[in-house]
Amino acid sequence: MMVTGILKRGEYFDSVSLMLIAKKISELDIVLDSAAVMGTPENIALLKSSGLLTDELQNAGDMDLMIAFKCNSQNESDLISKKINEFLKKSSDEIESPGSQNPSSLESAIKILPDANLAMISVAGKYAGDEAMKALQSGLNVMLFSDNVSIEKEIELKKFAREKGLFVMGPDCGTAIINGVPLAFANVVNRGNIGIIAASGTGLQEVSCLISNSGCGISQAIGTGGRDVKKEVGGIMFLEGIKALAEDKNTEVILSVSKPPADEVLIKVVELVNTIEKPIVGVFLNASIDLLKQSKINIAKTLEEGALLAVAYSQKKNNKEVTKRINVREGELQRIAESESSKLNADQKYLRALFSGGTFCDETQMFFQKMSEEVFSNTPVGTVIKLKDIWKSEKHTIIDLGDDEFTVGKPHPMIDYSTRNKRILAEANDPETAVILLDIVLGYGSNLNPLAEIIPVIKEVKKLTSQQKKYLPVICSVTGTEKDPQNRTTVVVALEAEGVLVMESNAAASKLAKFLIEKKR
Amino acid sequence: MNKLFESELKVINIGLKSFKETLDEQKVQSVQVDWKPPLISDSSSFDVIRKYSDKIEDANKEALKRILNSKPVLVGMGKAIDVIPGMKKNLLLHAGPPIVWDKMCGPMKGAVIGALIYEGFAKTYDEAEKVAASGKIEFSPCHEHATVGPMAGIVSPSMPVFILENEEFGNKAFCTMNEGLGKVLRYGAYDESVIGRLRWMENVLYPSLKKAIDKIGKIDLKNIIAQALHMGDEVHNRNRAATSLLYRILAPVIVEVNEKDAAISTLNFINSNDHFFLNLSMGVSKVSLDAARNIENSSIVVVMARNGTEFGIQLSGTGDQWFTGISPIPEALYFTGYTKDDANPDIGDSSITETNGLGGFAIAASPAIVQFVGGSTNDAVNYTLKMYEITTAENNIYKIPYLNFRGTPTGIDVIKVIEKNILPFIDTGVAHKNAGIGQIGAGVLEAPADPFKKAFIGFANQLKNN
Amino acid sequence: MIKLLSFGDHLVKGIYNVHSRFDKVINFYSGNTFVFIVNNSIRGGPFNIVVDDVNFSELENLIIAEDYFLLNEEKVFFETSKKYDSEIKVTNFDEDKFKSNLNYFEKALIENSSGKSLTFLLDERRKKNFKSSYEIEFVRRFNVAVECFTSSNYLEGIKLIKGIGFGLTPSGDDFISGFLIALNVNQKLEKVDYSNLIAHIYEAAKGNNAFTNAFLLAAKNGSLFEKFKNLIHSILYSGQNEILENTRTLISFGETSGADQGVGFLFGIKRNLK
Repeated sequence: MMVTGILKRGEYFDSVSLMLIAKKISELDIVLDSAAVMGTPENIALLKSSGLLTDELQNAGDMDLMIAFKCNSQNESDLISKKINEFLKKSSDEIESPGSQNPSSLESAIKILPDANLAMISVAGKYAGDEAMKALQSGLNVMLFSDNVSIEKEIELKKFAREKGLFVMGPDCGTAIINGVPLAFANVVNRGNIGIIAASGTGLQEVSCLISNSGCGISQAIGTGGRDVKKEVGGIMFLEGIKALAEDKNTEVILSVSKPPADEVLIKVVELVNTIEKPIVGVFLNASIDLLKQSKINIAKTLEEGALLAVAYSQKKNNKEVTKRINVREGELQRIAESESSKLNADQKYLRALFSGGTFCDETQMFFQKMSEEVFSNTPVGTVIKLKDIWKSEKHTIIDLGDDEFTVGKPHPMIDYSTRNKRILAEANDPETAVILLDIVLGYGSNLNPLAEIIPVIKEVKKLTSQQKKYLPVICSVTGTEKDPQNRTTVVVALEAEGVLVMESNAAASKLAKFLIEKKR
Repeated sequence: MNKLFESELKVINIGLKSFKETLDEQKVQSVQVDWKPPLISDSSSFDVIRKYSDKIEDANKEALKRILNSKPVLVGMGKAIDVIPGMKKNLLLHAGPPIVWDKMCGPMKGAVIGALIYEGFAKTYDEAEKVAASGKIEFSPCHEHATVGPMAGIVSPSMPVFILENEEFGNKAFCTMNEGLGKVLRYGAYDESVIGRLRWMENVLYPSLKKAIDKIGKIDLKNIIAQALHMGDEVHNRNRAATSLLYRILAPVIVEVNEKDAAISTLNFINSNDHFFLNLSMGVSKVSLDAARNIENSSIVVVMARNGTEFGIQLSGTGDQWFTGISPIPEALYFTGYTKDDANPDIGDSSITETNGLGGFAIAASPAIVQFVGGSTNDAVNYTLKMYEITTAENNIYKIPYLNFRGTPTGIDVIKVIEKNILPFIDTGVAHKNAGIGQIGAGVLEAPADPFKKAFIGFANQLKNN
Repeated sequence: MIKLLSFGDHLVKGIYNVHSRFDKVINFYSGNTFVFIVNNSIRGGPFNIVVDDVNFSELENLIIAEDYFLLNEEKVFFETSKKYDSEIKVTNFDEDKFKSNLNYFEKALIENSSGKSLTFLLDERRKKNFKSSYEIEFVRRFNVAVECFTSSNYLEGIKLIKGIGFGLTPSGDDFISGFLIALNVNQKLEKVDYSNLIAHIYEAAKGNNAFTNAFLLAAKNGSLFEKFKNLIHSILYSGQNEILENTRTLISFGETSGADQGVGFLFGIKRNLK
């Protein structure tokens, strides 16, 4: 039997990872006894009385980590030491083998990876623009996740990139799929022949998942950042993206997604599209489509319709099937709405939609433009009215919880469900709530265990409503695929088991909510 | 047209590490950049620098060509008053940027006192102090006289100095002989033993060494340093190999040209001082970097030096202007009985070695002294690797075996320092803050940010006005 | 833009360096003084600066001045409205309610805390989590120390437990912090002066670890971190739901630190109630 001591000088581990390491060590079969504690004189004395003190550890200081263990042989000791170093390495970026430290600059990173072709930049907005410019100057495409980059900088970057034949996706671009690789907030989708250009992150996620879930696939999905289609930027990357997809030999159908672009930009898009042979589908949520009537663009009203149209074209079918499919589904939704609304009591009148995806908030508002009662939102579109107090719903209320006002000091609601969970309970408590509409977005970047977040709240809602002797339908769309780390089916099954009405798209979920409200009247 | 769709995706991730983890999961090749915000956030200076980037690049190339092509050789010895440009009877040279008597730290004051006694300006401490404060004595930085001095760096008129010549460019540099460890003038000691040793060095060591060097003609110091790097020196905190190499060259000649007693004591003196070569490695650096001075538009650092109160730097493109900041106290391994509370702020011209791609910049070559830098060779290697981020070239002669004989990072570019927020890394000896106690530890420090910030802004302003 | 959410009432002016760095916390030090830059999930504290919109991995330089601080070159003014008050306020005190709430807190603490926390002092069954010889010795010392504490032999007790245990702040020191906080609260509840005892314990407990000392000093002065303050307020004035929530928040601090402080607090506060 022998005792081995390992001293790590001046290395700080928070207690959580320290305990984890201690636990992992004690779980090794060949370890007979062990301890991992900071080197205070008292801990040293304690190790001594437990027979675990070695010469190395005698001189430990308060801020040094001591690890001691007992085992049977030198061979075992070596093996255990090796394991421990692996554990430590995982919990600290500071310990590194020689030469393996990360480079401190783009320029040195290029030396390590000379044929790099994309820079993902997510540093503070104040600096992100300069880093992006350096990347472009080095011939790299840029995905600019950072927000708070000035519009002047954005224009400068995009003009420069256009000259050089490079992409600038962003600023504030959360989603892209390049060469089959999902970047930042994106889903694991099939590869295929549909190319997507999107000025909307959630929009891109929704259409790419719907396409993938209907058996087709994505060639490329380029995000441009929401501001690209504004007048100032003039759609530089939106247009470049369409051109690139038009030239890409793996892309047969182009799907473009955006909140309403500036008229100037829309005109340029129409002009460009008229020169392109490939079929093009356009989803411009809440846009006045007069400008598009004469163009080649096949206009879809919803993200879902856009995805389905793209799928139809990619399979060389025409759009009638899409219309038919949507019509059939409308009938089903009407039937569900009928039976659900019959369970409501007289006070229950209003929709309460709580979204983590901003584009969904816009899309749903589109369905609720002409209601007999007022509709409110924190990010109103069209006839919808701005909420006076974002924390308090009024009549029909449609909320984007990813908006800045909600996310101060918190991660995005796709990651941190807590704000929305509280709001769900508040709405459930409101006697006038007739239906709660939600979205759940899966994929990389989003919360890896959404069920642990949402299921307890749904249970709570049920408890609450049964106490209040009422029924409250909860409708939810789940944006994701089977290949996502969270697995869409697992999420859907668990939600349905709790009585949630899970829809395949936000459009379907919104329509069901609308029918339900209308039946109630 | 964009080639992205036809190529394998390879990503450089600057920012959130989770993105890199996702890429790893998908087996996409990627590199994470440990990004830090620049030291200066005001963009106007950056705009100027960007505008002139081509000119700066050309100028820096020229500066590096000169530094790397320099051929420093030891050509002789002489008395300071006779050989150092601008030296006068009432002038004392000191380490670091300019400083007045009142502002000098303990060890530097002590060394001034010692030098005044040695020169016969005073007999006692009190007398010397009065003389120093009287205004009769002038003070000037070594660096402004083609000279470098370790720690306090005091050079007085009668002191013998080595003469180094840059054979490629013709400029010269001067440095004193290293006194050894313990109670020595450069750490501010001034008692009789110190003065006695200085006199012995002037009367015995100097003539015997001078005769030997004159006989040899010239000694190629660059070659000695290149070899010493392969033998575990970085020639700032460790000079054992370089001293030995020099000793091998000198010993036979010293014996040949001197009386037996003088030869024995000279050889014993060199043999007992592992740091004998330090002053020469500083002189080599000085004479090489001086060749790269005054190149218009160059942002290369040609001096980093500390006077124990301030840390100052000079750039090639900004002439004789000093940019200074408060000198920090090194993170050190202290000799038994001493703590950081006893330490003087960083002092000495020896950081000229780092400026020349040696010392801390070459610490990966010196595993024997890694206990000064955190204990592991990894730390040492990582320090050297990091310095490549802020330098312009890899040295053509000074190479590091462990890094597959990669050249040491050479030619600090102040623009890179600011942009990447990485400060030069210096390994150094630590002086006691009180005069005369001597060295109390050895360790490392990051150069302070202020001098570099000021230099960057000063450089940008000069570009604007050109 | 750094967004200041709250700043501590015991910040000391100075130039600070990074001491240690975690996901949501950066500990800065200057000599023996500490400042903790934290995100909102950590909440306020006497030495805390709670900020938002900050990438913690990028923070390097901190300077605290009279009316502002500089973090990575960015200057942020201390707005008085954001000053965190670390002192505990006792207004009206209902002893029966307090006692029943304390019992509930004890239960909540035992049920929710990690296996390696000091809650074995409250519930024997939790000793089964301690198996290695270090841990067995650890448990033995605490048991002896608790006896010392109950017989008012504080110095002996402190000697046994200070500096031992897990984490950056050792369990023993966390326990003592909690105990000191309890004495401070007792002073207010009973209007008795314990300042000598408090000073005594503090002197005996402080060691060479500046980091731990910072926490002990705060506890000695009755300066509370927000999580603990909220907890005590809920024990004094609220019901079980709040206590449960605040207990959970407290023990989310470190693996065992929060829970260990809680145990120390219970021992300190009950010492007088019994």
